[in-house]
Amino acid sequence: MPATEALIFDAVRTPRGKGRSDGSLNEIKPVDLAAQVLEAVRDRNGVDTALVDDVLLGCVSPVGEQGGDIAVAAAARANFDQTVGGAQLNRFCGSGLETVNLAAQKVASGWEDLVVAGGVESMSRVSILADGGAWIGDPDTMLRNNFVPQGIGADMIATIDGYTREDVDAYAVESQRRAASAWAANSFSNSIVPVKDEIGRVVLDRDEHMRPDATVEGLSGLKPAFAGLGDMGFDAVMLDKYSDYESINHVHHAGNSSGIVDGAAAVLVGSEEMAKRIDADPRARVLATAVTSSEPTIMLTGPAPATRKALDKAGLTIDDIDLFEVNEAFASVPMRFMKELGVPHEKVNVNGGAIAMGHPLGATGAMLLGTLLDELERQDLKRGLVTLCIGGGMGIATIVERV
Amino acid sequence: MSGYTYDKDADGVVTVTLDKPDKPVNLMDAQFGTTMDEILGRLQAEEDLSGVILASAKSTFFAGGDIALLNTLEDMPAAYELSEELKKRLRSLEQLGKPVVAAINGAALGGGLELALACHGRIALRGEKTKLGFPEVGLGLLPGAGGVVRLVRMVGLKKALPYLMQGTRIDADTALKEGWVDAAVDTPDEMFAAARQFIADHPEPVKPWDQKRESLPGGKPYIGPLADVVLGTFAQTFKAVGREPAPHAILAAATEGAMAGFDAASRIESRYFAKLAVTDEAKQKLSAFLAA
Repeated sequence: MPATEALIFDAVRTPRGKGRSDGSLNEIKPVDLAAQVLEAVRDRNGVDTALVDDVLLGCVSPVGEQGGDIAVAAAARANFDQTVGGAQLNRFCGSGLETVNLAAQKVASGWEDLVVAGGVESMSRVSILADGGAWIGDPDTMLRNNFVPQGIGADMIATIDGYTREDVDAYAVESQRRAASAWAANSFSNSIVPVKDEIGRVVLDRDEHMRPDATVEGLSGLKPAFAGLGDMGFDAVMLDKYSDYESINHVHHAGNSSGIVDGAAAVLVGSEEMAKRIDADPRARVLATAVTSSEPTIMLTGPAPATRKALDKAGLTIDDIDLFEVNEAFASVPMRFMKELGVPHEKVNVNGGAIAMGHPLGATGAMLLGTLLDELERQDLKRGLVTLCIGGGMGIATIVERV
Repeated sequence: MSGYTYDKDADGVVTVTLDKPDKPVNLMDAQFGTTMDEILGRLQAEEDLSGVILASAKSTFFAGGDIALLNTLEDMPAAYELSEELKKRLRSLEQLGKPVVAAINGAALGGGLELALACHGRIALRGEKTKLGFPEVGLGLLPGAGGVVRLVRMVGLKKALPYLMQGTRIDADTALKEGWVDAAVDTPDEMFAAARQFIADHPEPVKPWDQKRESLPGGKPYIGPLADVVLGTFAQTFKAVGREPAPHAILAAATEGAMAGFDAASRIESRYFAKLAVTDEAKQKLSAFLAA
C-alpha cells in the first residue's frame, strides 16, 4: 500500500500550434512554452514554489534548445524558487504521462510531497527524430528488432485487423467532429492556458491543427504516407516477421495520423497533507500506473497490455472505467485498443484526439490526463484511464478517480 | 629473400616490389605476415629513407585474401586474431613516418586494396586490368584488414557504403574521381614518376585519423542526413538480400566505426569480420569459390 495517496491538484495545457514554420507557436521557444504552463499551475493554485520538490518534464527530441534538461531551465524561467530542480524525461510518446506517473510514485512513496509533472515539444523548431538514437539509427539494433518506421506498424495493424481505408478515414473524421464540437462547447476552457509572447500579447488560444470540415470522401484523395518507405524496403523488414502476410495494406496518411504540433502541459501532483497545507482542492487520485512493452516491430500495440496491467494493479476491470483517452498516434491504434479490450467508441476520446488536435510528443500524455479530468467532472463520472502507444513497442497507462 | 625485391636509390627512395614466388598473383596468405615483417623491419632500420614505393612484379597489383586460408577459420577468436594481425602490419606501414606510395599497376582487390589504402599515396595505371574494389561481400565476408574503416574515413560513410556493400569494381579514373587514388596515369614510367613526386610533396605524411582533430568527410551517422542514409541503406539491403549477414555486418561496422577513433573502429571491424567468418553463408560461398 502507498504511504500516502497521490492526488492531482490541477492540470493545464497550452493550445496546440501547427508544427510548421507558419504555425502560431513557431515564434515561441520551447523553454517559454514550458515556463508558461509552470507559471499557470503555480498561479491558478497559489502555490509557494518553495514547497515544490521537483519539476519533471517530458521531451522526446531533447537536443538543441530542447536539450540539456529543459525542465530546470523552464522552472528557473518561470521564477520558481531556486530550491526547485527539474528533470527532463524521455519515454518517447509516453513521456508526458510518464512524468505524471513518476510524480505520483514520488508522492505515494511519501518521499516527496509536491511535484510538477508535464511536458513540452516544439516540433516546428526541433524536428522529430532530431536526437537520432540506437533504436532508429544503429544498423545492428535495427536488424535484431526488424525496425520499421511507425507508420508501417500502423498499416500492419490495419492489415491484420482488416481495417479498410474507409474504416480508418471514418475514425479520423469522427475525431475531427468530436474535437470541433468540444471546442464549440468550450469543453477545454478549464485547462487551456493561452500562449503569450514576450510583450504579453496572446499568440494562440485555440488548437489550430483541426480540420473540422474533413470528410471521408475528402480524405480518400490523400496518398498513403508510408507506401514509399514500405517499397524502399521496410515492408520486407515487416513481412520477414509477419510471414503469414503477403503484403501490407497502406491506409494511413497525414489525415488519419496524429498531427505534428507545438505545445506544453503541466500537472500538479501532491499528497493529501500538502493539499491541506496549500489549501488546494484535489481533483482526482491516481489509482494505478503501468508501463510495459509489446511486439517491437509493429511498435504500437502497447496500450492494451498497459491498460490490463494498470487495471490489475488497481483491482479493477475494464467496465469500471467510465472514460478513456487513448492517444491517436494513428487511427489503427485506438481502433485496435477498442477491439482488443471490447471498449465502445462512446467511452474513448470523447472530445477527439491527436488526429484532430495534434500530438506534441513530450507533452501529449500530460495533456490527455487534463482532458480526461475535465470530462469526468463535466459528466460527473468517477474513473478514467489514459494510455499511449510508445516507440519500441512500449505502452503506458494511468488510472485516475475523482475525489 | 622471398616474395619481394628491395631497391634503394640515391634519393633515399626504396622500391619494394612484391613478387610472390611460384604464384601468378600476390596474396595475403600465411607467408604474407612474415614477408611484411621483414619489409617493415628493413624500412624502419633505414637511416636516410625519404619514401617507399610499393609495387608489384605481377600483372596485377595484389589479388587480396587467401580464400583457402579464410575457409579454414573455425572460431571467432581465431578470425579476430587473423584480422588484427594483418591490421597491425598495415598500421605500421601507415605510421612509418615516411611516405609510402602504392604503384597500382593492375587489379587491387580486397586485401590488395586494403594494403593500398594503408599507404599514403596511390597512383593507378589506367588499363583494362586495373580494377579496384572490395569483393568480400560476395564471399559472405567484409574487408577485415582495415578496408571498411579506411574507406569510410577517406571518402565518408555515404560514398563508401555502396562500394563496401555491393563489391562494385571500378577503374583507375573512377577511383580518382571517388577519391580512392591520388592520380591515374597512362604508362608505368608515369606511374613511378608520379609516385616519386608524391614522396617529394609529402615528406612526413600523417593520415587524417592520426591527426589531433579528425573530421569525418560528410559527418557522423546517427543524427542528421547520415542517419537517413543509414536507415535507407538498411531498408534497401533488407529488400534486396533479406537477413543475409555480410551486407548488414558491413553497414554495422561502417556506421559504428564512424563514431569511434581509428583503432577502436578497426577492432569493431575485426569483430564483425570474425562473426561473419564462421557463418554458414561465408563457408558456403568460400567453398563454392574454391571449387570453381
